[in-house]
Amino acid sequence: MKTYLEKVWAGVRTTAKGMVLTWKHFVTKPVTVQYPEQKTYFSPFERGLHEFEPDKCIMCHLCAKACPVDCILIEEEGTGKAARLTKYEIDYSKCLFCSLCIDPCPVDCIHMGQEYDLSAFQRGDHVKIDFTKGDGPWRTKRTSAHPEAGLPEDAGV
Amino acid sequence: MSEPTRPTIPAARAPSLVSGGEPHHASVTPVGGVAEVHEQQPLVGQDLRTEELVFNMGPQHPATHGVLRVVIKSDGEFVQGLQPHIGNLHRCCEKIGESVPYYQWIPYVDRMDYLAAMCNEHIACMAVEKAAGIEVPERAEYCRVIVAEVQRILSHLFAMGVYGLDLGAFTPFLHQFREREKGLDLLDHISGGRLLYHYVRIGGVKRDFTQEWLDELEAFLAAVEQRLPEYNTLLLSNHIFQQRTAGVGVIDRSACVRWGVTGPALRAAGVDFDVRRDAPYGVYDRFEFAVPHGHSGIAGVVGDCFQRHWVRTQEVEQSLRIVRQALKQMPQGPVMGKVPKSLKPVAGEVYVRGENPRGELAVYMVTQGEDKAWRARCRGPSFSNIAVITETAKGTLLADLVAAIGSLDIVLGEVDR
Amino acid sequence: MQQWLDQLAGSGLLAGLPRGLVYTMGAVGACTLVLLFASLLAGEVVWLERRVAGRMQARIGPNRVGPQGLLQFLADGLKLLGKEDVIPAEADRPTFLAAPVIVFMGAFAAFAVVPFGYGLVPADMNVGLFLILALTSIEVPGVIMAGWASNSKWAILGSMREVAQMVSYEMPLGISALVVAILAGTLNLSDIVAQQEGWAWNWYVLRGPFGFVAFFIFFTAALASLKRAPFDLPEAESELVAGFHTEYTGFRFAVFFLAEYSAMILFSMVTAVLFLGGWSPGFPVDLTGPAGRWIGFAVLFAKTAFLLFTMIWVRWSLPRYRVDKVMYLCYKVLLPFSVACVVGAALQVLVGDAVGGAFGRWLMGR
Repeated sequence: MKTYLEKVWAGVRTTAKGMVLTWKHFVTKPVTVQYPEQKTYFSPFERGLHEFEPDKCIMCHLCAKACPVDCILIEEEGTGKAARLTKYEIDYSKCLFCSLCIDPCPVDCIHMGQEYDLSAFQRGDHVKIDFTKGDGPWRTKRTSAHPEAGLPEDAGV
Repeated sequence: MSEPTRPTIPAARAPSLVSGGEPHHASVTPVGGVAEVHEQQPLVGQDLRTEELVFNMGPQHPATHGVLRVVIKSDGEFVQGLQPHIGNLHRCCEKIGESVPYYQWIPYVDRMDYLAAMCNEHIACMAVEKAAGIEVPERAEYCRVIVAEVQRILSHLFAMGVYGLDLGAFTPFLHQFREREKGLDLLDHISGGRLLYHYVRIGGVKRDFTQEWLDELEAFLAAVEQRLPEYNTLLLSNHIFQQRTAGVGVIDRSACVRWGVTGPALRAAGVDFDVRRDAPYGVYDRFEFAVPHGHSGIAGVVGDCFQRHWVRTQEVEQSLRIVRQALKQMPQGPVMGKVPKSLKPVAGEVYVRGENPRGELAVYMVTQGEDKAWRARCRGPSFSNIAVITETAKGTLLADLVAAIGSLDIVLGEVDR
Repeated sequence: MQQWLDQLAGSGLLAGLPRGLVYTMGAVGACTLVLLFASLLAGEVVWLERRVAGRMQARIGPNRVGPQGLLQFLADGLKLLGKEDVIPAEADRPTFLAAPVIVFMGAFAAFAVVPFGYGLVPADMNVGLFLILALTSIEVPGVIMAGWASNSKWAILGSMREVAQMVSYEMPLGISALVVAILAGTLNLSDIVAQQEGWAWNWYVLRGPFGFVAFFIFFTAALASLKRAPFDLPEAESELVAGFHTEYTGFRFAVFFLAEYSAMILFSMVTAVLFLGGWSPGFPVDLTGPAGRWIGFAVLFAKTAFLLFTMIWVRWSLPRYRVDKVMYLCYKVLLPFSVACVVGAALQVLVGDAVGGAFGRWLMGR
């Protein structure tokens, strides 16, 4: 009988304790933000969609070799000094966002950007992105978002 | 006879109440590969033919933590037998490890146990370093320990919150997510990814900590420390929670040894074993920390769901201690060692083990002087831990099965690899 | 209600109409009003639940549709209406279709005897309390039908749990309501409220210890028969996917949802009427006038809202019970305590009768 009453009391007491705690949260301000209007802070190292500078690229294919999933496709015209980049395509259905393509680049022409929401009205728009064409948000110049590595003065010019 | 053949029923038990035809609801769906499930055993009564009900819990079920499929043989609410079916999330992690260069395998290892990516990379990198004889700078070792312990805190927070969800308490789940969110941001700010970090690299770590990041880390540790009693109010000390978990899903010492259970589940069974302390790797031998293990001084019995949950809460505290000590001891210096441009370890084999939040993760590698491993093999804790459920959950209620699976805290990404 | 209709029939536009037609129109009108009231309010309770849950979990909750998200239920309802109405091929079709209607019916019919304010009661019956307990039990066959007809293993388990739970918890529910019936000496809900008028200590929850304990037992048992957490086993999402309505989609699912929330409102109102003084605000004031009735309605509404909030609060604070523990709680905790309360209330009435005077009348409860 005594343990029975103790059990009943324990049930009532711990229930009340939990409810007091949830009440405290009820009257505290929420910690979440209203997403599309407010956004959280991103570090400069964020690994989002790539940023690419086609003018600087020397077509050395090091990034494509470093990629574990072979999602980078590079096509060029001509040879030697006359070579011209015609296609630099990343297949985002394969990409791991591992940033291994960034490290070996000798001219620092590919970076991880801060864009993260791949949204488009047509699926094909964003599965494979050709960085040499179009004026999408991905075709960005190097911004202050990547202060960590200095840009070589004469690279790719 | 136009009827399909039915299992013959002994004459004494011939159905008299249910005359002709299969019962509408109790029909057993043929389940591939579970021969024993088909056995029809009359359980009660002489006249009324009864059957066991075969449930297919998962792979799309809220309680199976991903894509585990459990075939349950049940007598109403009581589980008579069960068999976990795995493989729905198989991604050839080990085979990929044998076909890509070492440094390209590390992002794949992240994806194995996606709730403890830092710990996975840590152990995989150690394996490659051991094979190639790469020296890791001391500061990098400390960086690794700090991020791995932060990861352990995050993983345990998640495990505890989701366990509440399994038991029907939604609020602690989101309370723990509030702190977890801070931790994810923390690791995001140093590595660039929120879940799959790729921060630990062969030879060191990707980048050194900044002062702002260290301040953020302090704030995170303080927040977790402050909130821990709150989680316990909603779960650990709650009477309903104790009734749901105490004495439920007991995995005792011998079962742990037989099935190869490791991690919090092993410690909850009263075995005082932690790879970080008993076979130290990295710089873990320089820290003081306790290894919490189940005992009879707290509620429940040794090795039950309650004690597994309790062990996790205690481990969070110990991880906080380790991070604080590491921050104090951390020397200055580089964070990346000398790694040869083409990494070709000589022929040989390595076996490296470490303590993941879920148990012991080990990486075994056979190298043959090429730039990729000849054989890469992982011993995952979740894979061993999930198997024990067949033994534990027999004869319990359906709700207890959910509680038992939840308390083992499996990650299907690593079970199936 | 009848007086109103008599007055209406004797004057103005309806003067020439036969009395029977007026009564029918009145009944249809009252039904429509109650239905509108209950379903709109149910929608808002869904909103309240989500907002309160959000705040308790350190997040915001729905706040986009309408001011502060108040019109969220319309958006949800429209979405559910737009969904495909899937009936499983193996389902028992007529039963499957009938089940939501039956569940819905039970929850709504009981509003007929709830006194919303003085004279604001669709059907003022002498057996009001009894009728409510009876009508809310209609849900049980509806749930069995839903679980059986779905031909899904999870659904049948959920409905078996539901039936076991509801049938068991009818007992503490009825017995703790009996405490009020003994103190009030009537089953008529309007009379029960009338006896709680005056100061707040006239409310049955504050008239002695037995009413106080009975109030908590009634509320807990109501939570259980409403399948609210921590007793939400029939639809335990982590065990049974969604319980008896696993196979229901679109509008039929919405009907189950609506029935659940309107049953919540109903039980909150009944608890307020039985134990918290109904439309009486807790101090002596005459609320029988034409305007006073609506003030009384507002008072009852406030009490209902408080109880609804408490139900939501409990839900988001506690883990779920296990099947056997639910039965333990019912038969070994709530039932003995409620029986003790009934005996105690009967003794209290006897003592009150013996003591006499104002205090004795207070003790007697009438």
